[in-house]
Amino acid sequence: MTDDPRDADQRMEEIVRETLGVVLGRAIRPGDPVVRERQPDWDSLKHIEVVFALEDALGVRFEADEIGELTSVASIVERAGRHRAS
Amino acid sequence: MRHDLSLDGHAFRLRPIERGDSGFVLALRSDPRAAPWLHRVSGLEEQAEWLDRYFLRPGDWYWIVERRVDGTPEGTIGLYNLDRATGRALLGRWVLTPRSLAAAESALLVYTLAFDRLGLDEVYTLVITTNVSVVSFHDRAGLERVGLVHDAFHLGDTTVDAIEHRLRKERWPATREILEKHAVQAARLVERGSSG
Repeated sequence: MTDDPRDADQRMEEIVRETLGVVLGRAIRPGDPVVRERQPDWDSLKHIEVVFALEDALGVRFEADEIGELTSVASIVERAGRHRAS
Repeated sequence: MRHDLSLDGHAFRLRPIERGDSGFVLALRSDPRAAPWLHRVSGLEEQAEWLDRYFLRPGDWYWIVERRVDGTPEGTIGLYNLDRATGRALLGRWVLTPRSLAAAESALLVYTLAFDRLGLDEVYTLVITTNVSVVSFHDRAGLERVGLVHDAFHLGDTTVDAIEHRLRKERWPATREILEKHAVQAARLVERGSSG
């Protein structure tokens, strides 16, 4: 038997929400429209903290040119998924 | 004005802007993600002429933010509206390419030049109220919020309010510590290179 990839994606999304919640200082529920451009406190300084916290939590290492693209739960899950698959 | 103030950081450097940077500046300021916060420039010649006037204007320092490793430009930053009586100047023209990691270091470098090289007593900023991430950046960097400035900028046919922050020389060491920490972390990310 193999693990259902949808379970892995769901678990990854939970980790992303939890990690963002810790760094941004508030709970992020499933479906919350968390997008960097609309989050006043997700500024350039906070983004660096977000990246390192996500890497620790997800066990991945983003490339330099991806870091600016990590702007929402969905985009983070998508990018992290590529690293886990490679 | 023409000047020769440059400063290297961990991953980025500030170097004086040149007329040949007009195309980069025009593209930077025309990006749809930056344009809502900026005065509109119609074309390359207008941008170059603006720089020609800037070169003659005293009390005005304008830099390109570029990568140390290969000189790739990632933005601009400036100090201007110098009041020699109070030792106060405005930090502005701070525009970075959308994916740039130069925010902390470019701010760190410009404050270093302002306080440690130019001997200023205070740097202040005016950020359009709706540019929330930059307002937050200045808050997090330890700048003091002075208040709301009504009709601070004319953009096209409208006027917009701004939030004024200031950093006094006495508080610069605390801000330097905050920005230095983030600049070091950002440099670690920049050094990874691209995924190709």
